Amino acid sequence: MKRKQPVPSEAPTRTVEITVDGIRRDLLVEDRELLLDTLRERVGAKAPKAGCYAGDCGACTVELDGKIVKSCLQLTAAVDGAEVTTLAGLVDPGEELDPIQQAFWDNDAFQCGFCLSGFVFAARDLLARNPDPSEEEIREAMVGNYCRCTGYVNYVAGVREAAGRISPDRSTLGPQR
Amino acid sequence: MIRTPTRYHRPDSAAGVVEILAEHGADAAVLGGGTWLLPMMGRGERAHHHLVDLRGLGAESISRGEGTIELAATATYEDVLADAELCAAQPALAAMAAGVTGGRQLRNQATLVGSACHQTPSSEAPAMFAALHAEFRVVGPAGERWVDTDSFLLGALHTALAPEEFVAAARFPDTPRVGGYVKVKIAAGGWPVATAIATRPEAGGDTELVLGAVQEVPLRIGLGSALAEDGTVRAEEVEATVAAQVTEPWADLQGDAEYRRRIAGPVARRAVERLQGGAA
Repeated sequence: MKRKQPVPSEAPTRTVEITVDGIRRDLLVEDRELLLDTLRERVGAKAPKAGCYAGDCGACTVELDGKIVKSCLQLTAAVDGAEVTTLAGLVDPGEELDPIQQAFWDNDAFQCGFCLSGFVFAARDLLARNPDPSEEEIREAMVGNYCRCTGYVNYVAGVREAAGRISPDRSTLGPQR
Repeated sequence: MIRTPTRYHRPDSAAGVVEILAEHGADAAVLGGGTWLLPMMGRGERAHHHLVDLRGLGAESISRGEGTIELAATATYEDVLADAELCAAQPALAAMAAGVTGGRQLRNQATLVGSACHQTPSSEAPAMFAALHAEFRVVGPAGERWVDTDSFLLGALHTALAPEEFVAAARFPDTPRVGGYVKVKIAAGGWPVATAIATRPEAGGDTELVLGAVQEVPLRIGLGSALAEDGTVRAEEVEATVAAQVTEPWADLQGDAEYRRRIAGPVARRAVERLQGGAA
């Protein structure tokens, strides 16, 4: 879906400072701009996907000041000074995958990968609170995210496997930046 | 992308919010969590040239007054869930907050007061406010007034708010109420077709039953003969009692009016059974 539109000259703008995956950015944004669009179109961070723009699918999920959010539901103007972590910020290219990413890979949890931001962040969020979740708890934690390829079963298996691999002190989770 | 060229405001006082609303009227909208408003503006269903963010007010999400609990307009579902004392005192509220559509991300972003102000019939928070006997602190050019839930929620997408007014907070009695909460959704990502909240003061008293999503506004059920002398409910009488009172069922893509009318009774009975079984 093509979302780029010409910028009306009368659209109010402002400068915001946000840190994306550890890199501070000073950005000129429109007041009406969604964080998702700022990340993708101005920062070039393509890990959060533009799916439903309605808060349903979870593909645009990022971590915003330590909380997972759907970036299509957030005005950039409202998060001046924030720290944002995208899926691409969990590990550097060439490094070992985050344990959750690796468990998803090993379990064929995803096919196209469009929904990965939602599922990886939801799984991290769950395991940070509950290192040994039941299947019911995993399903409950994943509920805000849509996958249209796999039918979720392998995602649930992936979260269970990740839970078993992550040490109790969570020191093996990817860097928190 | 929001289609209207919109200016973002973040006043640090209630007077500042009112000033902007008074100046721009319906061309301004109040931004709580934004989870309803921003997608609607993206789809062009609503157009405002001014958005007024309440997060600049810096209100404490949940505070305690004399015999009351107050939720700021910016209090999210996760703020409620993080308050263990509140969740223990109001288990039906906790059950509702934990299961709201959209998952953990939405619970981090969406606000309960915002849901009441938007007043979609299928939303869960409006009926919960009714069950909690909440009232809303409405702030406007003439000062502030408290409006009880039944007077505040007037119809689908319709509240007692004037364009130059906003809701700063909701408060409800700090009276622990045991509760049972049940909802029916067609899909995990969908909206409720019916919700039922059965509560009773922990210290003893009459059971109360409120239904959400079955009519335009939350429906308080008169329990009549279904209410036993000790304040409990004869669960076997609930279905017929409820069915007689669902007179103007809501209809949307999630469920038509007849479906809602038919399931309201069983959903209510299950909420009563959960209450009496001791599980919210």
